[in-house]
Amino acid sequence: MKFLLSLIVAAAILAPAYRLLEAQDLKLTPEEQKNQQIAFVEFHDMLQYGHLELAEQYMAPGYIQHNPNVPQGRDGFVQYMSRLRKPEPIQTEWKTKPSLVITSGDLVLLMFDRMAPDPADPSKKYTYNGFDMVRVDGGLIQEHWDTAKKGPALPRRP
Amino acid sequence: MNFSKCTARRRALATVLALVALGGAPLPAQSKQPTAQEQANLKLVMDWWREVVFAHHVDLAPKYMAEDYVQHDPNVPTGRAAFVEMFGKRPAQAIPDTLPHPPLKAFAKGDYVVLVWEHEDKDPSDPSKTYAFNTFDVMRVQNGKIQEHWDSSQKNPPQAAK
Repeated sequence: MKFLLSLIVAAAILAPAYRLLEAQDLKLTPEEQKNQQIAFVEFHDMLQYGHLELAEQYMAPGYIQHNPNVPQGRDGFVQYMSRLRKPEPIQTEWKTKPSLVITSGDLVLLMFDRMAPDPADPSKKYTYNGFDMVRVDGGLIQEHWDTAKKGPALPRRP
Repeated sequence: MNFSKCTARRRALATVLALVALGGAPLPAQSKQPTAQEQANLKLVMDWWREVVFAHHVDLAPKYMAEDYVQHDPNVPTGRAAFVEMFGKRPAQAIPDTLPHPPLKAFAKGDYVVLVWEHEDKDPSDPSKTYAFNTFDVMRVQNGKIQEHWDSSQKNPPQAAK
C-alpha cells in the first residue's frame, strides 16, 4: 500500500516535470530511469532553479569535475555555483529544456541547443549544441563532463 | 514562510518517493549489456569514424551515411554530398586498425551513438602547462546508416579573404 501510494504521488508530482522524452523511446531499465531522474535533479533543480542544498543528498562528496573552470568535489561545486545562482521556487518546466537526453547504464548525457552571434555576421545568431554528461552510481552523481574550455586568466586585482 | 525552500523540500520528497517507487520494486534483470542492434550501431559509427572521418576515405561514405544525412555541426554543410565534398579535400591516409586517439567513452543506446573525447590544450593562465577538456559527438542511426549528427562545435571565425 505504501509502495502504491508513493508510486501514485511520484507519478502525479514528477511526471509532468520530466516526461519530455517519450518520442525518443530509449527503453530505459529501472536503474537507468533512476539515474536519469538523479541527473535531472542536478540540471533542473540545482542548476536551473538554484537549489544547491540538494547536492548533499544527490552528489558524492568526491564528485569528479572535468569542467576545467569549476573546482573539484561536491563542496567545490556548491561554492562555485551558489555565487552564480539564487534559489527560487522550482517549476515543473525546464528553463532551458534539453533537446536530447541519452541514458545508458550509469551515464546520462544531456544536449542543449544554444545560440551565439554568428562570427561572420554578428547581427545574426546561429544554433549550436552544448553537452553535459554525468555518471550516477549508488544513487549519487559521481562525475561530470562538459564542453567548457579554460577561460583566459582573469586580470589580477591591484 | 520560505516558499522556495518549501517547494524544494516537496520536490526532493517527490524525487525520493519516485526513487523508492523505482528502487523498491523488484527489478527485472538489468540490461546494462547493449542489444545486438546497439552493438551494430556502435560498430558502424566507429568504422565510419576510422575510415571516413579520420582517414578521409570519402568513397566509403555511402556505405555508412544516409544520402539525406542531417548535419548540426555549424561548420559543415548538411547532406552526404556536402560532407563528401568537404572531407574529400583533405588528403586520404592509411586506414588504421584502431584510432590513434580513441574516444574516452563510446556507447550506443537505442538509435543513438555517443562519443566523448578528451583533448589537451595549453593552459591560458600558464602556457608551460596543459589541461584536459572534452568534446562530444552524437550520431543517430536509421536503417543501418548514420542519419544525423550533432557535436559541440561552434562556428569558426570567417577565414581571411584570399
